[in-house]
Amino acid sequence: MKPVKIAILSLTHGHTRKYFQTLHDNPSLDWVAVSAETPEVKDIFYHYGYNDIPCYMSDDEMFDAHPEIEAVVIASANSRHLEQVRNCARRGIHILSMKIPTFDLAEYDEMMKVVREAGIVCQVELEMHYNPVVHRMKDIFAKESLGRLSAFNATNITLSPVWAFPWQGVPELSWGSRVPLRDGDPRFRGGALCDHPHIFDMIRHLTGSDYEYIYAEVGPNIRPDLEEEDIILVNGKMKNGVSFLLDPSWSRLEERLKVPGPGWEVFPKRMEVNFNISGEKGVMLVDSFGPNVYHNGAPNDRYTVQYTYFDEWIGLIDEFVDCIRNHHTPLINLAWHRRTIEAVNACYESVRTGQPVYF
Amino acid sequence: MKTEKEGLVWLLNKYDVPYTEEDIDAHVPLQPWRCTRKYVELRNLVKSGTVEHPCLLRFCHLTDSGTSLEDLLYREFDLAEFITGQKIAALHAAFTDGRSGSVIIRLDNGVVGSVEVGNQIPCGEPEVDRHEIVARRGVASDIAVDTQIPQQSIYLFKTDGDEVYKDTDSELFGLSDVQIENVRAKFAFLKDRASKDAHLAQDAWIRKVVKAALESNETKKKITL
Repeated sequence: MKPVKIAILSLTHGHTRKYFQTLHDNPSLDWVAVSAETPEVKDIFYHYGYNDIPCYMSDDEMFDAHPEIEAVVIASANSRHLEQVRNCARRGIHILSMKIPTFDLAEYDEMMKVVREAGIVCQVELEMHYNPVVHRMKDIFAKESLGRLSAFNATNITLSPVWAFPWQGVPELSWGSRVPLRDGDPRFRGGALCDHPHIFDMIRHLTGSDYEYIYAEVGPNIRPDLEEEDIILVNGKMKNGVSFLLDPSWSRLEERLKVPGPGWEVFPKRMEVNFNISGEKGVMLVDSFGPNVYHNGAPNDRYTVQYTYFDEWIGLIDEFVDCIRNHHTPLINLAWHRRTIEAVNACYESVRTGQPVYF
Repeated sequence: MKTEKEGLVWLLNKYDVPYTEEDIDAHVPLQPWRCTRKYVELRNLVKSGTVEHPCLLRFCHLTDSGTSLEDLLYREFDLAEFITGQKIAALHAAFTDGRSGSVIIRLDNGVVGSVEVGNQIPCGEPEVDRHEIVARRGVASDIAVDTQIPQQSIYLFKTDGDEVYKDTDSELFGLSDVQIENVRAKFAFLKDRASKDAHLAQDAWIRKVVKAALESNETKKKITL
Protein backbone atom coordinates (compact mmCIF):
# COMPACT_ATOMS: atom_id res chain seq x y z
CA MET A 1 0.00 0.00 0.00
CA LYS A 2 1.28 3.44 -0.91
CA PRO A 3 2.32 5.30 2.26
CA VAL A 4 0.09 8.24 3.20
CA LYS A 5 2.00 11.52 3.10
CA ILE A 6 1.13 13.14 6.40
CA ALA A 7 1.86 16.30 8.38
CA ILE A 8 1.04 17.67 11.83
CA LEU A 9 -0.49 21.12 12.28
CA SER A 10 0.32 23.57 15.10
CA LEU A 11 1.99 21.16 17.59
CA THR A 12 0.25 22.82 20.54
CA HIS A 13 -2.11 20.05 21.63
CA GLY A 14 -1.17 17.90 24.60
CA HIS A 15 -1.36 14.76 22.51
CA THR A 16 1.03 16.02 19.82
CA ARG A 17 4.13 14.24 21.07
CA LYS A 18 2.25 10.91 21.22
CA TYR A 19 2.21 10.88 17.41
CA PHE A 20 5.89 11.43 16.80
CA GLN A 21 7.06 7.85 17.17
CA THR A 22 4.08 6.35 15.32
CA LEU A 23 4.42 8.72 12.39
CA HIS A 24 8.13 7.96 12.30
CA ASP A 25 7.86 4.16 12.63
CA ASN A 26 4.73 3.24 10.69
CA PRO A 27 5.70 2.24 7.12
CA SER A 28 2.16 3.10 5.99
CA LEU A 29 3.01 6.74 6.57
CA ASP A 30 5.46 9.14 5.04
CA TRP A 31 5.87 11.96 7.57
CA VAL A 32 6.44 15.00 5.37
CA ALA A 33 6.39 18.10 7.58
CA VAL A 34 4.96 19.93 10.58
CA SER A 35 3.76 23.45 11.21
CA ALA A 36 4.41 25.20 14.52
CA GLU A 37 2.48 28.06 16.05
CA THR A 38 5.46 29.78 17.67
CA PRO A 39 9.26 29.61 17.56
CA GLU A 40 9.17 28.19 21.09
CA VAL A 41 6.91 25.34 19.95
CA LYS A 42 9.27 24.72 17.03
CA ASP A 43 12.25 24.52 19.41
CA ILE A 44 10.41 22.04 21.61
CA PHE A 45 9.59 19.90 18.55
CA TYR A 46 13.23 19.66 17.51
CA HIS A 47 14.13 18.83 21.08
CA TYR A 48 12.48 15.44 20.42
CA GLY A 49 15.11 14.71 17.77
CA TYR A 50 13.12 14.57 14.55
CA ASN A 51 15.55 16.90 12.83
CA ASP A 52 14.85 15.60 9.32
CA ILE A 53 11.22 16.79 9.44
CA PRO A 54 10.87 20.36 8.12
CA CYS A 55 8.97 22.69 10.43
CA TYR A 56 7.05 25.67 9.00
CA MET A 57 5.66 28.66 10.83
CA SER A 58 2.26 28.55 9.13
CA ASP A 59 -0.04 25.86 7.77
CA ASP A 60 -0.32 27.53 4.36
CA GLU A 61 3.43 27.90 4.02
CA MET A 62 3.76 24.18 4.71
CA PHE A 63 0.96 23.15 2.35
CA ASP A 64 2.36 25.36 -0.44
CA ALA A 65 5.82 23.89 0.00
CA HIS A 66 4.48 20.33 0.12
CA PRO A 67 1.53 19.89 -2.24
CA GLU A 68 2.04 16.14 -1.85
CA ILE A 69 0.57 16.19 1.70
CA GLU A 70 -2.52 13.95 1.76
CA ALA A 71 -3.45 13.98 5.43
CA VAL A 72 -2.85 15.91 8.63
CA VAL A 73 -3.13 15.56 12.36
CA ILE A 74 -4.75 18.79 13.56
CA ALA A 75 -2.91 19.22 16.84
CA SER A 76 -3.97 22.69 17.88
CA ALA A 77 -6.09 24.55 20.41
CA ASN A 78 -9.81 23.84 20.07
CA SER A 79 -10.42 27.43 18.96
CA ARG A 80 -8.34 26.92 15.81
CA HIS A 81 -9.96 23.72 14.61
CA LEU A 82 -12.69 25.18 12.40
CA GLU A 83 -10.36 27.33 10.29
CA GLN A 84 -7.94 24.41 9.92
CA VAL A 85 -10.73 21.99 8.95
CA ARG A 86 -11.94 24.50 6.37
CA ASN A 87 -8.43 24.86 4.97
CA CYS A 88 -7.89 21.10 4.75
CA ALA A 89 -11.30 20.52 3.17
CA ARG A 90 -10.55 23.20 0.59
CA ARG A 91 -7.30 21.44 -0.24
CA GLY A 92 -8.80 17.91 -0.15
CA ILE A 93 -6.59 16.85 2.74
CA HIS A 94 -7.76 14.11 5.12
CA ILE A 95 -8.03 15.02 8.81
CA LEU A 96 -7.26 13.34 12.08
CA SER A 97 -8.97 15.67 14.53
CA MET A 98 -8.16 16.03 18.21
CA LYS A 99 -10.81 14.75 20.63
CA ILE A 100 -12.73 18.05 20.62
CA PRO A 101 -13.39 19.33 17.09
CA THR A 102 -15.36 22.22 18.65
CA PHE A 103 -17.99 22.73 21.35
CA ASP A 104 -19.92 25.19 19.20
CA LEU A 105 -22.54 23.08 17.43
CA ALA A 106 -22.96 25.56 14.58
CA GLU A 107 -19.21 25.28 13.96
CA TYR A 108 -19.47 21.52 14.37
CA ASP A 109 -22.18 21.30 11.72
CA GLU A 110 -20.11 23.41 9.37
CA MET A 111 -17.19 21.02 9.87
CA MET A 112 -19.46 18.09 9.01
CA LYS A 113 -20.67 19.90 5.89
CA VAL A 114 -17.25 20.87 4.50
CA VAL A 115 -15.84 17.41 5.23
CA ARG A 116 -18.78 15.74 3.48
CA GLU A 117 -18.61 18.05 0.47
CA ALA A 118 -14.85 17.62 0.12
CA GLY A 119 -15.15 13.83 0.32
CA ILE A 120 -12.32 13.60 2.82
CA VAL A 121 -11.85 11.38 5.86
CA CYS A 122 -12.23 13.10 9.23
CA GLN A 123 -11.46 10.79 12.13
CA VAL A 124 -11.81 12.05 15.69
CA GLU A 125 -9.00 11.03 17.99
CA LEU A 126 -10.59 9.02 20.80
CA GLU A 127 -7.64 6.78 21.34
CA MET A 128 -9.16 4.73 24.15
CA HIS A 129 -10.83 2.60 21.47
CA TYR A 130 -7.37 1.28 20.51
CA ASN A 131 -6.32 0.47 24.09
CA PRO A 132 -5.90 -3.32 24.54
CA VAL A 133 -7.72 -3.33 27.88
CA VAL A 134 -10.68 -1.55 26.30
CA HIS A 135 -10.48 -4.08 23.46
CA ARG A 136 -10.91 -6.84 26.04
CA MET A 137 -13.74 -4.94 27.69
CA LYS A 138 -15.53 -4.73 24.34
CA ASP A 139 -15.14 -8.50 23.93
CA ILE A 140 -16.64 -9.05 27.38
CA PHE A 141 -19.55 -6.79 26.50
CA ALA A 142 -20.05 -8.61 23.20
CA LYS A 143 -20.41 -11.87 25.14
CA GLU A 144 -22.89 -10.17 27.49
CA SER A 145 -20.94 -11.63 30.40
CA LEU A 146 -22.52 -9.21 32.88
CA GLY A 147 -26.06 -9.81 31.66
CA ARG A 148 -28.38 -6.82 31.77
CA LEU A 149 -26.38 -3.79 32.86
CA SER A 150 -27.43 -1.65 35.78
CA ALA A 151 -24.57 0.77 36.53
CA PHE A 152 -21.68 2.18 34.51
CA ASN A 153 -19.21 4.22 36.52
CA ALA A 154 -15.99 5.56 35.08
CA THR A 155 -13.11 7.89 35.81
CA ASN A 156 -11.06 9.88 33.36
CA ILE A 157 -8.93 11.74 35.86
CA THR A 158 -5.57 13.30 35.19
CA LEU A 159 -3.25 16.07 36.18
CA SER A 160 -3.95 19.43 34.56
CA PRO A 161 -1.98 20.06 31.38
CA VAL A 162 -2.56 23.84 31.38
CA TRP A 163 0.97 24.81 32.39
CA ALA A 164 2.49 22.95 29.43
CA PHE A 165 -0.38 23.66 27.04
CA PRO A 166 -1.62 27.09 28.15
CA TRP A 167 -4.55 27.28 25.73
CA GLN A 168 -6.33 24.69 27.84
CA GLY A 169 -6.45 27.19 30.68
CA VAL A 170 -7.97 29.95 28.54
CA PRO A 171 -11.78 29.64 28.22
CA GLU A 172 -11.91 31.23 24.76
CA LEU A 173 -9.33 28.81 23.38
CA SER A 174 -10.59 25.67 25.11
CA TRP A 175 -14.37 26.09 25.35
CA GLY A 176 -14.61 28.64 22.55
CA SER A 177 -15.89 31.65 24.49
CA ARG A 178 -15.90 33.08 28.01
CA VAL A 179 -19.02 31.64 29.65
CA PRO A 180 -19.32 31.68 33.46
CA LEU A 181 -19.96 28.28 35.04
CA ARG A 182 -23.01 29.70 36.86
CA ASP A 183 -24.23 32.91 38.41
CA GLY A 184 -21.83 34.14 41.06
CA ASP A 185 -19.08 31.66 40.19
CA PRO A 186 -15.85 33.38 39.11
CA ARG A 187 -14.84 30.43 36.93
CA PHE A 188 -15.60 29.74 33.28
CA ARG A 189 -16.28 26.74 31.06
CA GLY A 190 -13.25 25.12 29.44
CA GLY A 191 -11.45 23.10 32.12
CA ALA A 192 -11.25 19.43 33.04
CA LEU A 193 -14.58 18.55 31.45
CA CYS A 194 -13.33 19.76 28.06
CA ASP A 195 -10.25 17.58 28.37
CA HIS A 196 -12.01 14.28 29.07
CA PRO A 197 -14.71 13.28 26.57
CA HIS A 198 -13.56 9.64 26.41
CA ILE A 199 -15.87 8.19 29.04
CA PHE A 200 -18.82 10.16 27.66
CA ASP A 201 -18.18 8.37 24.38
CA MET A 202 -17.36 4.96 25.81
CA ILE A 203 -20.63 4.62 27.72
CA ARG A 204 -22.56 5.21 24.49
CA HIS A 205 -20.41 2.73 22.62
CA LEU A 206 -20.48 -0.03 25.24
CA THR A 207 -24.10 0.21 26.34
CA GLY A 208 -25.43 0.81 22.84
CA SER A 209 -27.73 3.38 24.37
CA ASP A 210 -28.12 7.14 24.47
CA TYR A 211 -28.36 9.65 27.28
CA GLU A 212 -31.74 10.11 28.93
CA TYR A 213 -30.60 12.79 31.36
CA ILE A 214 -27.38 14.10 32.78
CA TYR A 215 -26.53 16.02 35.95
CA ALA A 216 -23.22 17.68 36.82
CA GLU A 217 -21.77 19.39 39.88
CA VAL A 218 -18.51 21.32 40.18
CA GLY A 219 -16.46 21.39 43.34
CA PRO A 220 -14.03 23.99 44.60
CA ASN A 221 -10.88 23.98 42.50
CA ILE A 222 -7.82 22.21 43.87
CA ARG A 223 -5.91 24.81 41.82
CA PRO A 224 -7.48 28.05 43.05
CA ASP A 225 -5.59 30.15 40.50
CA LEU A 226 -7.19 28.39 37.53
CA GLU A 227 -10.10 30.26 35.96
CA GLU A 228 -11.80 27.06 34.75
CA GLU A 229 -13.25 24.08 36.62
CA ASP A 230 -10.88 21.31 37.68
CA ILE A 231 -13.21 19.19 39.85
CA ILE A 232 -16.48 18.02 38.35
CA LEU A 233 -18.76 15.02 38.86
CA VAL A 234 -21.45 13.81 36.49
CA ASN A 235 -24.25 11.30 36.90
CA GLY A 236 -27.52 10.39 35.25
CA LYS A 237 -29.22 7.66 33.30
CA MET A 238 -29.10 6.19 29.84
CA LYS A 239 -32.28 5.50 27.90
CA ASN A 240 -31.90 1.75 28.55
CA GLY A 241 -32.07 2.36 32.29
CA VAL A 242 -28.34 2.12 33.05
CA SER A 243 -27.33 4.65 35.68
CA PHE A 244 -23.92 6.22 35.40
CA LEU A 245 -21.35 8.18 37.36
CA LEU A 246 -18.54 9.86 35.42
CA ASP A 247 -15.58 11.67 36.94
CA PRO A 248 -13.68 13.73 34.35
CA SER A 249 -11.73 15.85 36.86
CA TRP A 250 -8.19 17.18 36.84
CA SER A 251 -7.92 15.73 40.34
CA ARG A 252 -4.24 14.75 40.26
CA LEU A 253 -1.90 17.59 41.07
CA GLU A 254 1.16 18.28 38.96
CA GLU A 255 4.41 20.19 38.91
CA ARG A 256 3.87 23.20 36.68
CA LEU A 257 6.28 22.15 33.94
CA LYS A 258 6.36 24.00 30.63
CA VAL A 259 7.39 20.84 28.81
CA PRO A 260 5.99 17.49 29.99
CA GLY A 261 8.68 15.18 31.27
CA PRO A 262 9.87 13.16 34.25
CA GLY A 263 8.63 14.59 37.52
CA TRP A 264 5.44 16.07 36.03
CA GLU A 265 3.18 14.24 38.47
CA VAL A 266 2.70 14.97 42.18
CA PHE A 267 0.18 12.16 42.71
CA PRO A 268 1.88 8.89 41.65
CA LYS A 269 -0.47 8.07 38.79
CA ARG A 270 -1.04 11.08 36.58
CA MET A 271 -3.74 9.56 34.39
CA GLU A 272 -6.45 7.04 35.19
CA VAL A 273 -9.30 5.67 33.11
CA ASN A 274 -11.06 3.10 35.28
CA PHE A 275 -14.45 1.48 34.88
CA ASN A 276 -16.68 -0.07 37.52
CA ILE A 277 -19.59 -1.74 35.78
CA SER A 278 -22.41 -3.73 37.37
CA GLY A 279 -24.91 -6.07 35.78
CA GLU A 280 -27.33 -8.81 36.78
CA LYS A 281 -24.60 -11.48 36.48
CA GLY A 282 -21.75 -9.68 38.21
CA VAL A 283 -19.34 -6.79 38.39
CA MET A 284 -16.36 -5.76 36.26
CA LEU A 285 -13.48 -3.58 37.47
CA VAL A 286 -11.21 -2.19 34.76
CA ASP A 287 -7.96 -0.24 34.86
CA SER A 288 -7.22 0.82 31.28
CA PHE A 289 -3.71 1.97 32.16
CA GLY A 290 -2.44 -0.62 34.58
CA PRO A 291 -0.58 -2.43 35.89
CA ASN A 292 2.72 -0.65 35.30
CA VAL A 293 6.23 -0.30 36.63
CA TYR A 294 6.78 1.95 39.67
CA HIS A 295 9.65 3.94 41.19
CA ASN A 296 10.49 6.70 43.61
CA GLY A 297 13.67 7.94 41.97
CA ALA A 298 14.70 11.07 40.07
CA PRO A 299 13.85 13.82 39.68
CA ASN A 300 11.59 14.32 42.71
CA ASP A 301 12.03 11.09 44.71
CA ARG A 302 8.27 10.61 44.78
CA TYR A 303 6.47 7.33 44.27
CA THR A 304 5.61 7.38 40.55
CA VAL A 305 3.78 5.19 38.08
CA GLN A 306 6.04 4.70 35.08
CA TYR A 307 3.53 4.11 32.29
CA THR A 308 4.59 0.86 30.70
CA TYR A 309 1.97 -0.07 28.16
CA PHE A 310 0.82 2.88 26.09
CA ASP A 311 0.31 2.17 22.40
CA GLU A 312 -3.15 3.47 21.53
CA TRP A 313 -1.72 5.73 18.84
CA ILE A 314 -0.59 2.76 16.75
CA GLY A 315 -4.10 1.36 16.24
CA LEU A 316 -5.55 4.82 15.86
CA ILE A 317 -3.21 5.66 12.99
CA ASP A 318 -3.68 2.23 11.41
CA GLU A 319 -7.42 2.89 11.25
CA PHE A 320 -6.86 6.38 9.81
CA VAL A 321 -4.66 4.98 7.02
CA ASP A 322 -7.17 2.22 6.32
CA CYS A 323 -10.00 4.75 6.05
CA ILE A 324 -7.99 6.90 3.61
CA ARG A 325 -6.73 4.11 1.38
CA ASN A 326 -9.78 1.82 1.50
CA HIS A 327 -12.51 4.46 1.73
CA HIS A 328 -13.84 3.30 5.09
CA THR A 329 -15.68 5.43 7.62
CA PRO A 330 -13.81 5.89 10.92
CA LEU A 331 -15.35 4.36 14.02
CA ILE A 332 -15.27 7.79 15.66
CA ASN A 333 -16.46 10.05 12.87
CA LEU A 334 -17.93 13.53 13.21
CA ALA A 335 -21.54 12.33 13.04
CA TRP A 336 -21.09 9.76 15.85
CA HIS A 337 -19.07 12.13 18.00
CA ARG A 338 -21.61 14.97 17.89
CA ARG A 339 -23.70 13.38 20.69
CA THR A 340 -20.64 13.13 22.93
CA ILE A 341 -20.03 16.85 22.44
CA GLU A 342 -23.70 17.50 23.23
CA ALA A 343 -23.33 15.50 26.45
CA VAL A 344 -20.36 17.60 27.54
CA ASN A 345 -22.31 20.76 26.74
CA ALA A 346 -25.24 19.37 28.75
CA CYS A 347 -22.96 18.99 31.77
CA TYR A 348 -22.14 22.70 31.66
CA GLU A 349 -25.80 23.51 31.26
CA SER A 350 -26.58 21.35 34.30
CA VAL A 351 -23.90 23.14 36.31
CA ARG A 352 -25.45 26.46 35.28
CA THR A 353 -29.02 25.54 36.20
CA GLY A 354 -28.31 23.20 39.11
CA GLN A 355 -30.69 20.64 37.58
CA PRO A 356 -30.41 17.60 35.29
CA VAL A 357 -30.55 18.16 31.55
CA TYR A 358 -32.84 15.87 29.57
CA PHE A 359 -32.04 14.81 26.00
CA MET B 1 -4.95 -13.53 16.76
CA LYS B 2 -4.31 -16.97 18.22
CA THR B 3 -0.86 -18.29 17.33
CA GLU B 4 2.66 -16.92 17.66
CA LYS B 5 3.29 -17.54 13.97
CA GLU B 6 0.21 -15.58 13.02
CA GLY B 7 1.33 -12.67 15.18
CA LEU B 8 4.88 -12.72 13.89
CA VAL B 9 3.90 -12.84 10.23
CA TRP B 10 1.42 -10.00 10.80
CA LEU B 11 4.13 -7.79 12.35
CA LEU B 12 6.71 -8.65 9.69
CA ASN B 13 4.28 -7.77 6.92
CA LYS B 14 3.03 -4.61 8.61
CA TYR B 15 6.53 -3.23 9.15
CA ASP B 16 7.93 -4.45 5.82
CA VAL B 17 10.58 -6.69 7.39
CA PRO B 18 11.91 -9.23 4.84
CA TYR B 19 11.67 -12.89 5.93
CA THR B 20 11.46 -16.47 4.70
CA GLU B 21 9.54 -19.44 6.06
CA GLU B 22 12.85 -20.75 7.41
CA ASP B 23 13.26 -17.53 9.40
CA ILE B 24 9.88 -18.08 11.02
CA ASP B 25 10.72 -21.60 12.14
CA ALA B 26 14.41 -21.12 12.98
CA HIS B 27 15.37 -21.54 16.63
CA VAL B 28 17.74 -19.01 18.16
CA PRO B 29 17.95 -18.65 21.96
CA LEU B 30 16.69 -15.07 22.16
CA GLN B 31 16.12 -14.40 25.88
CA PRO B 32 12.64 -13.19 24.85
CA TRP B 33 11.79 -11.48 28.17
CA ARG B 34 14.24 -8.77 27.10
CA CYS B 35 11.45 -7.54 24.80
CA THR B 36 8.82 -7.48 27.54
CA ARG B 37 7.97 -3.88 28.21
CA LYS B 38 7.97 -3.99 31.99
CA TYR B 39 11.54 -5.25 32.00
CA VAL B 40 12.53 -2.73 29.35
CA GLU B 41 11.06 0.02 31.56
CA LEU B 42 12.95 -1.25 34.62
CA ARG B 43 16.15 -1.32 32.59
CA ASN B 44 15.47 2.22 31.35
CA LEU B 45 14.95 3.42 34.92
CA VAL B 46 18.39 2.10 35.83
CA LYS B 47 20.10 3.16 32.62
CA SER B 48 18.68 6.70 32.75
CA GLY B 49 19.72 7.15 36.38
CA THR B 50 16.12 7.57 37.53
CA VAL B 51 17.02 5.07 40.20
CA GLU B 52 20.60 5.95 40.90
CA HIS B 53 23.36 3.61 42.06
CA PRO B 54 21.56 0.28 42.52
CA CYS B 55 22.67 -1.77 45.51
CA LEU B 56 20.20 -4.63 45.79
CA LEU B 57 17.96 -6.71 43.53
CA ARG B 58 14.95 -8.57 44.93
CA PHE B 59 13.65 -10.97 42.30
CA CYS B 60 11.05 -13.70 42.70
CA HIS B 61 9.39 -16.02 40.21
CA LEU B 62 7.00 -18.79 41.25
CA THR B 63 5.19 -21.05 38.78
CA ASP B 64 3.46 -24.38 38.60
CA SER B 65 5.33 -27.59 37.83
CA GLY B 66 5.15 -26.96 34.09
CA THR B 67 8.28 -24.82 34.35
CA SER B 68 11.57 -26.31 35.47
CA LEU B 69 13.74 -24.72 38.14
CA GLU B 70 16.53 -24.45 35.56
CA ASP B 71 14.31 -22.47 33.20
CA LEU B 72 13.27 -20.14 36.00
CA LEU B 73 16.89 -19.57 37.00
CA TYR B 74 17.90 -18.96 33.37
CA ARG B 75 15.22 -16.31 32.98
CA GLU B 76 15.86 -14.53 36.28
CA PHE B 77 19.65 -14.56 35.96
CA ASP B 78 19.41 -13.10 32.47
CA LEU B 79 16.97 -10.47 33.68
CA ALA B 80 19.37 -9.49 36.46
CA GLU B 81 22.05 -8.88 33.86
CA PHE B 82 19.69 -7.22 31.38
CA ILE B 83 18.20 -4.77 33.86
CA THR B 84 21.47 -3.79 35.50
CA GLY B 85 23.80 -4.06 32.51
CA GLN B 86 26.17 -6.09 34.68
CA LYS B 87 27.39 -9.70 34.74
CA ILE B 88 26.84 -12.17 37.54
CA ALA B 89 30.21 -12.69 39.23
CA ALA B 90 29.39 -15.06 42.06
CA LEU B 91 26.48 -16.91 43.61
CA HIS B 92 25.31 -19.13 46.42
CA ALA B 93 22.21 -21.32 45.93
CA ALA B 94 19.99 -23.31 48.27
CA PHE B 95 17.22 -25.47 46.77
CA THR B 96 14.92 -28.14 48.17
CA ASP B 97 13.84 -31.19 46.17
CA GLY B 98 14.71 -29.42 42.93
CA ARG B 99 11.39 -27.56 43.25
CA SER B 100 12.06 -24.33 45.11
CA GLY B 101 14.71 -22.26 46.82
CA SER B 102 16.84 -19.20 46.41
CA VAL B 103 20.07 -17.85 45.06
CA ILE B 104 22.09 -14.92 46.32
CA ILE B 105 24.00 -13.38 43.45
CA ARG B 106 26.75 -10.79 43.31
CA LEU B 107 27.24 -8.77 40.14
CA ASP B 108 30.49 -7.47 38.66
CA ASN B 109 29.93 -4.04 40.21
CA GLY B 110 29.24 -5.41 43.70
CA VAL B 111 25.44 -5.21 43.58
CA VAL B 112 23.86 -8.16 45.37
CA GLY B 113 20.55 -9.80 44.59
CA SER B 114 18.15 -12.40 45.89
CA VAL B 115 16.49 -14.67 43.37
CA GLU B 116 13.57 -16.69 44.76
CA VAL B 117 12.36 -19.44 42.47
CA GLY B 118 9.89 -22.30 42.75
CA ASN B 119 7.43 -24.33 40.75
CA GLN B 120 5.02 -25.43 43.45
CA ILE B 121 2.10 -23.14 42.70
CA PRO B 122 -0.92 -25.38 42.06
CA CYS B 123 -1.67 -25.94 38.39
CA GLY B 124 -4.07 -23.39 37.01
CA GLU B 125 -3.10 -20.66 39.47
CA PRO B 126 -1.37 -17.55 38.07
CA GLU B 127 2.39 -17.16 38.23
CA VAL B 128 3.83 -14.75 40.77
CA ASP B 129 6.82 -12.65 39.92
CA ARG B 130 8.47 -9.57 41.34
CA HIS B 131 11.47 -7.56 40.20
CA GLU B 132 12.60 -4.85 42.56
CA ILE B 133 15.73 -2.74 42.29
CA VAL B 134 16.80 -0.95 45.46
CA ALA B 135 19.16 1.96 44.85
CA ARG B 136 20.80 4.73 46.85
CA ARG B 137 18.27 6.97 45.15
CA GLY B 138 14.93 5.28 44.70
CA VAL B 139 13.37 1.86 44.36
CA ALA B 140 11.93 0.52 41.11
CA SER B 141 9.55 -2.42 40.95
CA ASP B 142 7.13 -4.16 38.66
CA ILE B 143 4.56 -4.64 41.39
CA ALA B 144 2.76 -1.84 43.20
CA VAL B 145 3.61 -0.84 46.75
CA ASP B 146 1.61 -2.67 49.42
CA THR B 147 0.73 -5.58 47.13
CA GLN B 148 2.09 -9.12 47.00
CA ILE B 149 0.97 -10.32 43.60
CA PRO B 150 1.00 -8.80 40.13
CA GLN B 151 -2.15 -6.82 39.40
CA GLN B 152 -4.52 -7.41 36.50
CA SER B 153 -6.20 -4.87 34.23
CA ILE B 154 -9.67 -6.41 34.47
CA TYR B 155 -11.35 -8.25 37.32
CA LEU B 156 -14.64 -9.83 36.37
CA PHE B 157 -16.64 -11.13 39.33
CA LYS B 158 -19.50 -13.27 38.05
CA THR B 159 -22.08 -15.62 39.42
CA ASP B 160 -20.67 -18.43 37.24
CA GLY B 161 -17.01 -17.87 38.13
CA ASP B 162 -14.49 -15.05 38.23
CA GLU B 163 -12.16 -14.05 35.39
CA VAL B 164 -9.13 -11.79 35.20
CA TYR B 165 -7.39 -10.29 32.19
CA LYS B 166 -4.20 -8.37 31.52
CA ASP B 167 -3.91 -7.16 27.93
CA THR B 168 -0.86 -5.11 27.15
CA ASP B 169 -0.25 -5.24 23.43
CA SER B 170 -2.89 -3.97 21.03
CA GLU B 171 -1.07 -5.20 17.93
CA LEU B 172 -0.89 -8.74 19.30
CA PHE B 173 -4.25 -8.75 21.05
CA GLY B 174 -5.40 -12.26 21.85
CA LEU B 175 -1.97 -13.77 22.49
CA SER B 176 -0.84 -14.64 26.01
CA ASP B 177 1.97 -12.79 27.78
CA VAL B 178 4.40 -15.59 26.94
CA GLN B 179 3.33 -15.67 23.30
CA ILE B 180 3.69 -11.88 23.03
CA GLU B 181 7.14 -12.12 24.58
CA ASN B 182 8.20 -14.74 22.03
CA VAL B 183 6.72 -12.89 19.06
CA ARG B 184 8.21 -9.52 20.01
CA ALA B 185 11.63 -11.13 20.54
CA LYS B 186 11.57 -12.94 17.21
CA PHE B 187 10.34 -9.81 15.44
CA ALA B 188 13.11 -7.72 17.00
CA PHE B 189 15.65 -10.36 15.99
CA LEU B 190 14.46 -10.53 12.38
CA LYS B 191 14.76 -6.75 12.19
CA ASP B 192 18.30 -6.95 13.55
CA ARG B 193 19.89 -10.27 12.68
CA ALA B 194 23.31 -9.00 13.65
CA SER B 195 22.29 -9.65 17.25
CA LYS B 196 22.47 -13.42 16.73
CA ASP B 197 26.00 -13.83 18.06
CA ALA B 198 25.19 -11.79 21.17
CA HIS B 199 22.15 -13.97 21.87
CA LEU B 200 24.17 -17.17 21.42
CA ALA B 201 26.95 -15.88 23.67
CA GLN B 202 24.49 -14.85 26.37
CA ASP B 203 22.78 -18.23 26.14
CA ALA B 204 26.06 -20.04 26.68
CA TRP B 205 26.95 -17.76 29.57
CA ILE B 206 23.62 -18.00 31.40
CA ARG B 207 23.63 -21.79 31.00
CA LYS B 208 26.97 -21.73 32.77
CA VAL B 209 25.54 -19.59 35.58
CA VAL B 210 22.55 -21.93 35.99
CA LYS B 211 24.91 -24.91 36.14
CA ALA B 212 26.93 -23.09 38.78
CA ALA B 213 23.78 -22.51 40.84
CA LEU B 214 22.94 -26.20 40.78
CA GLU B 215 26.52 -27.01 41.70
CA SER B 216 26.45 -24.52 44.55
CA ASN B 217 23.35 -26.18 45.94
CA GLU B 218 25.03 -29.59 45.74
CA THR B 219 28.37 -28.52 47.22
CA LYS B 220 26.85 -26.01 49.68
CA LYS B 221 29.52 -23.54 48.60
CA LYS B 222 29.66 -20.10 47.05
CA ILE B 223 30.84 -20.24 43.46
CA THR B 224 32.78 -17.48 41.77
CA LEU B 225 32.26 -17.37 38.04
